[in-house]
Amino acid sequence: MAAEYTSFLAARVLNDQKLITYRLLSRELKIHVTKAKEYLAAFHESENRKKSGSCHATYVVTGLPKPVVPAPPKTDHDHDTYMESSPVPEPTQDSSEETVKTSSVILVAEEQLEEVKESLQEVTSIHIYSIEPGPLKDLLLVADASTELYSRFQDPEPVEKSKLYGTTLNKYIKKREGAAPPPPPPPSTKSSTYVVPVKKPSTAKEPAAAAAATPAATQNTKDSRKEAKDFFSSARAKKEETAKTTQAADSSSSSKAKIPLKRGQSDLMSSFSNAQPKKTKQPEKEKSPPPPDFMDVDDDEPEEQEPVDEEARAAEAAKQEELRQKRMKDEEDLRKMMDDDDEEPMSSKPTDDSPPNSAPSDAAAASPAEDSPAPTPSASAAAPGRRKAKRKVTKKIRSKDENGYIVTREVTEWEEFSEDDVPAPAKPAAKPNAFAAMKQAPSSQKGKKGSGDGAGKKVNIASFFQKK
Amino acid sequence: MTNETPPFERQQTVYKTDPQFQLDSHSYQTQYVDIYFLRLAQLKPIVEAAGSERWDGMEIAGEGVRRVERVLDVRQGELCWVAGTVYMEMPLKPNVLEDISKDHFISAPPSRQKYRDFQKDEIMLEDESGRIRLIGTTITHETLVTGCVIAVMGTETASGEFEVVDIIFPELPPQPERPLPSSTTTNKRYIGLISGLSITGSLHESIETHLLVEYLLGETGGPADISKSSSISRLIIAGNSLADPHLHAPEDAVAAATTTASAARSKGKKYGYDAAAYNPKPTTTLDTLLSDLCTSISVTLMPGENDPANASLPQQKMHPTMFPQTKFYTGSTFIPSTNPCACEIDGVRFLGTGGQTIDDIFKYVDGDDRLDMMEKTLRWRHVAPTAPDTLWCYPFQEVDQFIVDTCPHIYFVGNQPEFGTRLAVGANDQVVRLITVPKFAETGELVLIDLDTLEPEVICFKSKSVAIA
Repeated sequence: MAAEYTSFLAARVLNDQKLITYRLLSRELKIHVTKAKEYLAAFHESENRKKSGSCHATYVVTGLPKPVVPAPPKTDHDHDTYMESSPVPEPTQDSSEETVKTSSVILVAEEQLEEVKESLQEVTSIHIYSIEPGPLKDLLLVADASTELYSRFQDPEPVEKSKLYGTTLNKYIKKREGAAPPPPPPPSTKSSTYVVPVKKPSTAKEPAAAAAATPAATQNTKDSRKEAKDFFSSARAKKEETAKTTQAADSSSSSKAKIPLKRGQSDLMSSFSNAQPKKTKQPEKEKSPPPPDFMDVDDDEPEEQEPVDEEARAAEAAKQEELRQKRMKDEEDLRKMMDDDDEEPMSSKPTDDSPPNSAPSDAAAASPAEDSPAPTPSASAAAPGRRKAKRKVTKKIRSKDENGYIVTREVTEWEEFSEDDVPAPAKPAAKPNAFAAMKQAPSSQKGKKGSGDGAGKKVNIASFFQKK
Repeated sequence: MTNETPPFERQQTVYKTDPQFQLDSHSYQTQYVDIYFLRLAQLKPIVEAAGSERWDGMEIAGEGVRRVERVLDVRQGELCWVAGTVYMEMPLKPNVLEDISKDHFISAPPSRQKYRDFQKDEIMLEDESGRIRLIGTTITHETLVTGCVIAVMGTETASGEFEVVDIIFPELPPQPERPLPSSTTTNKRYIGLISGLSITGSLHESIETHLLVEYLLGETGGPADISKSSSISRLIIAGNSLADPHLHAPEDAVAAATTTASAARSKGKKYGYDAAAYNPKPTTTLDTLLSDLCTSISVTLMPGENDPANASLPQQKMHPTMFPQTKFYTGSTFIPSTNPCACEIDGVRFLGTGGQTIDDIFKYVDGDDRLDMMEKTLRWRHVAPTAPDTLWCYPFQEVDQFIVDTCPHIYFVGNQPEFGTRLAVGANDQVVRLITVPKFAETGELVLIDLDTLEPEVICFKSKSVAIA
């Protein structure tokens, strides 16, 4: 035992140059604190015998301090007036008569031990508190040992603790059962949530992507991975870039480019986690856009995103989407019917417009120009602009309502909106393509944009839920 | 070797929590005015009983003293007595209405040390009917604060003021009998009182705090010390266990927090736990120390001004979730408590506050005899008379919980500048031990109370380091 403690102390104090308190020693060696104090004292003595000054100690001195002249009682109040009026016995005692028994517990470095002892009227006990390689500048350093103690040693059960270390025993303590405090929740849920929404678009397109992977696409994927955090902005920008490049290329090449982009996204997704639940959704989403009102599409997406993490939810969402899409189509068909019936005289324009809206998949290829206005707002808007796009769409609807039953006016409004949105000059040509892409048509560029928008929207929604 | 020193056993005492200061609901929807009505309704009968006992049938200069029901019924030149609530009109006192009328919507300037201004202060007596200004040396020399209920005897002067001749307070409430120390218990029973640990969670936590913990656990000192510390049955921490975060947070940390906070703001508002804006270290450190203590000694933890509890009195228990290690001792040795706190330990009634009440009264009165202020609060039968005027408190609707119905045997106030004690004696043989508990972080003093004699003792924890030039 003796060898054990001396070697331990030598290693710690002399080699590691670290301070050790009796308490820490008792925990280290699982010995009674009194024993630990004895060991410390013995070690201190033996070391200093070998080489004086090699080891420094602090002591705890307990005792009664010499009586200090008690501070004069503070009675600034003249109680005369009070006295004369009240029959109550004067409650204030002469506090100076009362001397409160005071004792001291003093931690002191060995140099001042004698001094402190002299300052005490009666010394109850002296014991070693800590030993350290050299004199301490500040006894605060001793507190570090306590911090170390708490961080390294789990408290045993109270009864055991008192047996082992000599802590005052309290038999009546009942420690509640329970798991140790759980570690603090990981701060970064963001990444996962962000990633998941991204997955949807990518996964949906994956099958197509498998066909061909261009170098550009791989680059994109790498970039996107790197900037996963900023995924929204960066991904979009990249998409646009890729879209431009693809535009230059043939339609076939563009389709390829499209696919690789999706791949890159999918890689991101996969690297983070569950890609599968979304796959089912996404094709649906892509289908969903065809309904003329983008508003509806937007509304649907957020709902989808909630479930993002859970496959079951995703499946449900998918079902719901399908239902909605059906409903939408039905409604649109109804509208068409209504429009056609009511306003046949006017119908020439409306009929033209309505087909693209109602049956976008079919019409997309045929009438790209007409469709373009609707997709453009969403695409151009980027992350912040989506809502605006929505508004614009809604305005269109309202215009319909306001104008009442005249379909032609509706058409004109459509055009106006398209003009407003179009201002980005380069894109109009691409836009029709995008719409087609949405519908899973071959034209690649717009499809990318559309998917990007969808992803962006999803991300936003996801982040919203994260906050909660 | 294990049996060399048989472990000392902790002295046991029976602890009963008095739910007096527990709030059942936390609705802040209601007005504060009800508090004064409630207070007057509860205390007026007491003062009036005392008043009629003392003044009924009394004649001064041949004129009989008449009792008047309401403040507004006082007739000029007639000798009478009336009861009501004191209101101190003090220009130096912070006044919300004034701030609003002056468009001072900025944060208030640091509060003054004292509101007292003899030239301008007016003492009013009010009840549900109205107010009357009190004058006369009797009243101006008396220690009074807003919110205490008193009865005054005198006459209304020509100028409409009430010249006070005599004053009556509710005086000390009835005190339950204290169980006499039985001859069988040879061991001393102590209760430890401490306040203002001001744990910062900084790297070098005060060594005195660790000494305290070790002493209480019975690890420091010789057999005599350990025997004494084992007779300390309970420790009551009277508030401010954590340091004021605004004072002690290192400036660079604050700066870092603000920059990150602004960055976070630019990204969008964050909800929930934010590591940048919240420093968990003080609570963690306190939790560690408490969980160590709780393996051996019962700890009653009262919240204080700086502690993470509701700011308005009565402060409710700090939530155990804040102490992930210590919480396993709740129901046994860890007793989170309200502030003010009322409890009974082996039949000895304790009443204590974290210090806000006396600190606030201090601003109203002359001098700094805090023991006197404590005694006054007992004689007013109200722990926190200045709430809700200058002290934040809960808008009570049913009953004013701060009214002291039962006289305690020990009345302590935490976080005071220095240790002080004396006895307050009531008319009906009530004897109360008043104690101001100093801030441990400043004085290193632990106050022990002998449950048998109610005598206090002080143990001072110090460290003396070598001054190395």
